Amino acid sequence: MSVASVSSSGEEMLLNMGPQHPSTHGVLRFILRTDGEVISAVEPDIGFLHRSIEKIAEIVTFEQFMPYTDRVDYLAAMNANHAWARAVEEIAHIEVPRRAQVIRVITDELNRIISHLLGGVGALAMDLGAVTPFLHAIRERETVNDIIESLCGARLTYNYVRIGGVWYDLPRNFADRTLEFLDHFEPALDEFDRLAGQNKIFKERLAGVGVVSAKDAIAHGLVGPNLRASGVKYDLRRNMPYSIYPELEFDIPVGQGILGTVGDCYDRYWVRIQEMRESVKILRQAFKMLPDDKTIKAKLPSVLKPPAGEIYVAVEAPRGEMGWYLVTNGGPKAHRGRVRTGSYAAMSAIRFISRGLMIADLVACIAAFDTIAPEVDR
Amino acid sequence: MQEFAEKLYAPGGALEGAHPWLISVAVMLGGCLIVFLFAAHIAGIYSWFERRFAGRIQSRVGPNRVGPQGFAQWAVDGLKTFQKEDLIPEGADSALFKLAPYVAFAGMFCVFAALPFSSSWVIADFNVAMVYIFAVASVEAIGILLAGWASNSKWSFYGGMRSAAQIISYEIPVGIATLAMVIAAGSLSLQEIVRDQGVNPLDWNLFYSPFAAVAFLCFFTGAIAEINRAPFDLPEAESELVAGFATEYSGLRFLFFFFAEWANIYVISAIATCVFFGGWQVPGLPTERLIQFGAPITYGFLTLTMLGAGAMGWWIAAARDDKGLRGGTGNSVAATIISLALGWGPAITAGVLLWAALMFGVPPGIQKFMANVVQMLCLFAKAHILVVLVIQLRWTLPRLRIDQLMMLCWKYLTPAAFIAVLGNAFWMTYVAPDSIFQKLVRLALFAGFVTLLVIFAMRVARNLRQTRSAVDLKLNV
Amino acid sequence: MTSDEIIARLTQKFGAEKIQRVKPEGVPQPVAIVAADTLRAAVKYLQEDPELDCGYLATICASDFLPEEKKTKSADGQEKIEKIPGRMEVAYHFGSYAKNHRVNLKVVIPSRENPTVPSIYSLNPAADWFEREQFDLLGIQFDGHPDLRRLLMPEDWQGYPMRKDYQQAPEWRGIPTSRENSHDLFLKRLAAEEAEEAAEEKLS
Repeated sequence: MSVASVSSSGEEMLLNMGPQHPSTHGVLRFILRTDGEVISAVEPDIGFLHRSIEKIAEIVTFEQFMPYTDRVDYLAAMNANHAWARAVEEIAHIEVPRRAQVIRVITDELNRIISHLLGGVGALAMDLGAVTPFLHAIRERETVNDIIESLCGARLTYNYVRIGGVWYDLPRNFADRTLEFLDHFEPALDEFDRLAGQNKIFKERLAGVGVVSAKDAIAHGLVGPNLRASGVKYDLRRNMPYSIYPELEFDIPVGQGILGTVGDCYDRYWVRIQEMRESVKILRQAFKMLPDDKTIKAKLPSVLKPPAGEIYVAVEAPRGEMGWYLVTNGGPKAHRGRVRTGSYAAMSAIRFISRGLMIADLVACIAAFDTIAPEVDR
Repeated sequence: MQEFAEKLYAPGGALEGAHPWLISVAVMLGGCLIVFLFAAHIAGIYSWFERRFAGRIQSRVGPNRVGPQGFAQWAVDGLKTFQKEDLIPEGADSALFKLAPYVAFAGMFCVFAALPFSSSWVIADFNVAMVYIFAVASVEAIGILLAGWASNSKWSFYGGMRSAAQIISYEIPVGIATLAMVIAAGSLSLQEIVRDQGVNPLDWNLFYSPFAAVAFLCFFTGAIAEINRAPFDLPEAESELVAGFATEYSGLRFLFFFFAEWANIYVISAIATCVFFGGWQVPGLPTERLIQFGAPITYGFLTLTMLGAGAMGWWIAAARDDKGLRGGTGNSVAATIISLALGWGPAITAGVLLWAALMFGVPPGIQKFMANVVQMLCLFAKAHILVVLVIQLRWTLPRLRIDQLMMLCWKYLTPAAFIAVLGNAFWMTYVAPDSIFQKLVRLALFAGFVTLLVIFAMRVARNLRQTRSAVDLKLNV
Repeated sequence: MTSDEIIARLTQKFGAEKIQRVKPEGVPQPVAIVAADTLRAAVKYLQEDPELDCGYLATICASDFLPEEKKTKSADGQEKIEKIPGRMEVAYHFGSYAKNHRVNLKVVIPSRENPTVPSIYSLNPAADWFEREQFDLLGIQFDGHPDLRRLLMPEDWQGYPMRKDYQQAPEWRGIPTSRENSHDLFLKRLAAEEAEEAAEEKLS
């Protein structure tokens, strides 16, 4: 990475943050030009976690690629699985059984909760110096990990969704266990919010920091909670509905500028907290919609060969729109797959937002945008 | 200490005729050694206590493997850190880099010299103790600044600069808030300030006037900032500056920084106790009464030591045979030695001493000694409550940003401290010490303080209950 | 608006020779093939027309097509070999939050040698990293991008990894880029162990 774009002069100093730094959430590097504590330019240097997932998509078949999608976003592997499955189903015209649809929504929302807990609000609190809320978030996440482990045997990279359905049916007691967790989780989330979000210092640290207007958010391609925090009410689950989302009742929280400015870091925190509450609502409804029909996977040809063409299909992942631009050539493998992730856009936007912030604010900003390195580099 | 030395070389003393200067130095060095050991243990034990306490706050366990409840963890950690390679980064200013941790440590340690542990235990009873304490406490800033500069790392440099800015700024509200109490006590000597407060909790400086309470808030907040503890731990700021000034340190030098940090928690709590909470004054028991009770105190102390040390020895021996320390022969031998040194040895000694005390009576010197021990424990207990508060703050609050930190200092704490000084000065001039009004104010402030404590305790208890229910969620997975 | 309607409006505006609608059989989404020289104007129109309002650039996806030979059998049973030259395609996915519609644009570059496309960075800042990444991985030159550098790969990397004919250099700065297959390593170890056993048997 050339440092030409951030060369320093006079009083200013170049500061190399990362690739090994406690708050870069993975292996990321920032080259900062600072004057004392104030940052005048940021150049993110990405690619340390580049695993060529898009290249791999070209050399394995559609079904074989599923485990790799886990690694695109390992905090929300279910949603990443779902994105890939949906892209292939859409172009190959595969009808997914209803039970699988409902299960996908259940796993998606569980995954959304734990992703927000760890990446969205827990790590944010920790980067602000409050370790306790982070560990409380981890405590809740462990329970969901246990639940998902009982479903697919994995705790991080699930590889659970299949093209045309899901891998296994829900295990016994799954619904009871999850609902028991939800009953426990709602007050626990309130407690978390009291401990972190209602804290005076926490609010002061985030209020008015890293403000992104709705116009800028669209222009920089921010998606998901980051976009909604800026006041744009857009959620793929509602606006371009897929799976059983049209039948579910839930709100889409939008940043309200609780601490003065719409689109600051506190709004991002707040939107994520509200989204977890909405996810709980969705889960409660989804369990009621589970059909008795036990079919969980559509009948597929032994070799899946979608027609040649191209398509862009996206789902709402915890870090926003996760979409695949899929180019097929009529064969069993994708000709080209390109994944669009939320962290990538947020990371590229951080350059513009962080001018004039302090080092401590940049750390808060990275965490509040919920950027994780594997999604940026893929 | 000086008095003790004088007694030694005075006519009729134990070392009559020896060179007075030599005796003084020897006595002082001896005192320093004792305080050093005391500080080392305090720092270590608080590091263990903090980790266990934080574990409780965060719904986890914390260190619990070495010793009962993990109590020996700090000793093992110290030994481990001691063995680590001492790295000096390339391009670092080697001499300053090596010096820095000791400078930081010296700043903390020198404060102990003026800290009155009991009615007669104080290394140096300066008449300008408060000035001295503020002078030497800032030496720590130099140590950290040196560490930041000498490390040849920009992160360290940031840590050092932040620390310098922070410590220098916060010295002002802290110093001025203390001045408010110095005015009230009429002395700069810490021992005098403690003596002035008397045995009745109502006589504590904290309840002297409403301004004293303001002064306490300024002092305590500022002191936490001065020792770089969360929420003011910007110089380390592990999520921002990696580890701040300590980034490049390892091994023993790193240990010295954190030794200083944990000992500092005790130091500020002890100073706050001395200035505001009556220091070593045991509520309801003046020094003379304590000396009168010397004999029963001795019996009780020896019995407790015997039982405690015996239990420790038994535990270590059991652990050696049972689970924790099982392994090679080396471990087994080490466990035997540790159990003898920490457990059986002291237990037997205490038993023999108890027998001797019961048979032959307790000599008056020992009675006076035991009275001092009780006063020291009282200071320790009072300071401990503040230490718990400091630890709780650290594990609850996020960190401030540097501009917010400065704003808090210059916009709020400094003016408040000045108001406290002026208020106390007026109070002293216009409110007679024995007037009914003064007594009523003391009573009201005391009642308010107790109410606050009770509310605080209730909230902590409630949160603990809630956390327990949250932790105890056991799904049938 | 549906994608078809958006493409129809684009065609109306820029003419059928510049904008061409393609929808292969069985594929749910249509694609507008835009001539390279019209791309910037088309994107500008997409973004600024109040009815289209496509300010959101979801992704830029370049893909590489090697030259291939297609064998087709004509009606009279004669084999015909059709040579399709290699090409590069750069696809854009635009969307609008307010109108809730999406559209795919595509630029086809007929040659694989030094492919060049006009940059839309000045129209949409989100294109910055997307274009840099496509340049990095496929070597597409985005004409007019102010800072076209490698994004994910090291600055001095040779070649464009996502191209179909990419051959990895054996090493980069002295670091080997590949390692022995673990299966091969396992076979090697087995062989070594067997040889050892044989030697031991000989000794005994």
